[in-house]
Amino acid sequence: MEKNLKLFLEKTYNTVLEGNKEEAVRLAREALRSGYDPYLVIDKGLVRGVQELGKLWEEGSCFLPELVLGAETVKTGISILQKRILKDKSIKRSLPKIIIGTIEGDIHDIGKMLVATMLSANGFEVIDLGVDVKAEVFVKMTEKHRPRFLCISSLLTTTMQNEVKVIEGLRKTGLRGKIKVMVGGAPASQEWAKEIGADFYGENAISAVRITQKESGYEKKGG
Amino acid sequence: MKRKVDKKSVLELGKERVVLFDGAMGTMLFSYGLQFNEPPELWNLLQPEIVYKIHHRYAWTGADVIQTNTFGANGVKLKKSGYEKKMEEINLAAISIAREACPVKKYVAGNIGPTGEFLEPVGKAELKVLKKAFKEQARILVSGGVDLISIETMYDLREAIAAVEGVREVASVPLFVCMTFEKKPKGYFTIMGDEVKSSFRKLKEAGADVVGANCTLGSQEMIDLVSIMRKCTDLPIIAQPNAGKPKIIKGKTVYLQTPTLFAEDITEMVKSGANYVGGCCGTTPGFTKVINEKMNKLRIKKGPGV
Repeated sequence: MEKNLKLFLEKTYNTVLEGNKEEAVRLAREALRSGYDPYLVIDKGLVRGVQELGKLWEEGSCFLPELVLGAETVKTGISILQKRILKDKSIKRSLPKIIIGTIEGDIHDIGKMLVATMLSANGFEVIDLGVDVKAEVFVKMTEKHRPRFLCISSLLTTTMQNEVKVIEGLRKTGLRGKIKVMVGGAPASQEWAKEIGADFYGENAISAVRITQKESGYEKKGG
Repeated sequence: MKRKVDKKSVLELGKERVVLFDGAMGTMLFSYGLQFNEPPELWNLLQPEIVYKIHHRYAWTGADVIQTNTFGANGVKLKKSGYEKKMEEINLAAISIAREACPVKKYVAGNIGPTGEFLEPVGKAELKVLKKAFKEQARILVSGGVDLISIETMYDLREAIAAVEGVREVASVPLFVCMTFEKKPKGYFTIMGDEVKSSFRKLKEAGADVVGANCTLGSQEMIDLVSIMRKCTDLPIIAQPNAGKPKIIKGKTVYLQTPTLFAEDITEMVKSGANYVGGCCGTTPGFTKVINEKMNKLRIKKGPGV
């Protein structure tokens, strides 16, 4: 890898760790001007940064503000680089789609937002249905968008029962076998996922990313 | 209804012996049929007899301090469910229910929880808006005659300080503040990354009389946190852990921890320096009863560290 590019990727990576959105905008534009491969910049600069933040968060060396700022920095950078990707058919690649939302009766936004942000910062196309989402809406949107994953969040033990209705709805419409369902939120657990017939339990935003990446066959290349 | 009773301040009592706070209100209301999306505080108006019953059971199983059902009764939070116009009514009703439900020698704490909004960079809430909401709620709580104010479950130090400052602008009553800390490999932190020592220092500067932790942690982890908290401040300490992590078994929420185990852990917290103890999510009057029995043996003449 040429020296300038290597230095550039390192700068991009650090920008994410610092959560500097303005700098990310500047670097993304510079990348386009210099003709760097936008995927490489996303992969080895931005996403590598947010993954490092994820590690730091898990070990308790950084917290929600740093994680949110870092993820937003990545999104800002990606949004600029994506314009080039969409224009240039030779480098077009399809990103796995994910639908996410908080279940009916529950208006908790923060955990779901963090998972959505981290997923999109890691290169997925995320459709966020918001909070208090009815089971029928989850099913309808799955039918419409055909995502690879459906992520359902619940923070209340009372409302998490509504997740069962989503799974039933998917079964009835014949969509169940076509997507993977992941549940998350404070009261959810591996046992809960199993009990309602979901595929995965995502313990936190980082594990949600890990699971979806693994399942999409999207493993990080070395170097 | 206000009754003039001659009793020592809860802070004075805390110097003489360990003081027992009540247990959960929210999870109790759910067990009585509170529906999701229904603000628990609304039951002060709609189902006062159930709120009364819960307070009554806590008071008669041995709690010294009863906390009003006003955790989410600040203007910012009530606005989300469309009940902000009923803010004063809800808070005043909560105080009369608590007063009616417990003997006069017990203490009624005006309970204040977070607004549920996030400050920058996670959210877009403005600190001055939050502070105004806390000030307004505190003004009503004090006008209703609470003996103390207990601020709980604060996950952002900035919001906690806004609450303390808001209260202090209108009230000189004893002020208890609980942050909610998570256990991380490097220690205990709020989700925003606030650590114990600097949080407690700043809360004290802002005017808190007692500092501590509630929610998130089960009683086992809380023992460890209490010994850390004891080293971090010269103020009295309060600890209100959850009854473990909830499990969903056959569609029902179950807290697997037993009152006996919980009470054993509480006594460990007292040995580690907690001056005020109680329970958070999942605890019931059954827990209070067992803690009270154990504490009757343990209650000490002087609270440690004060």
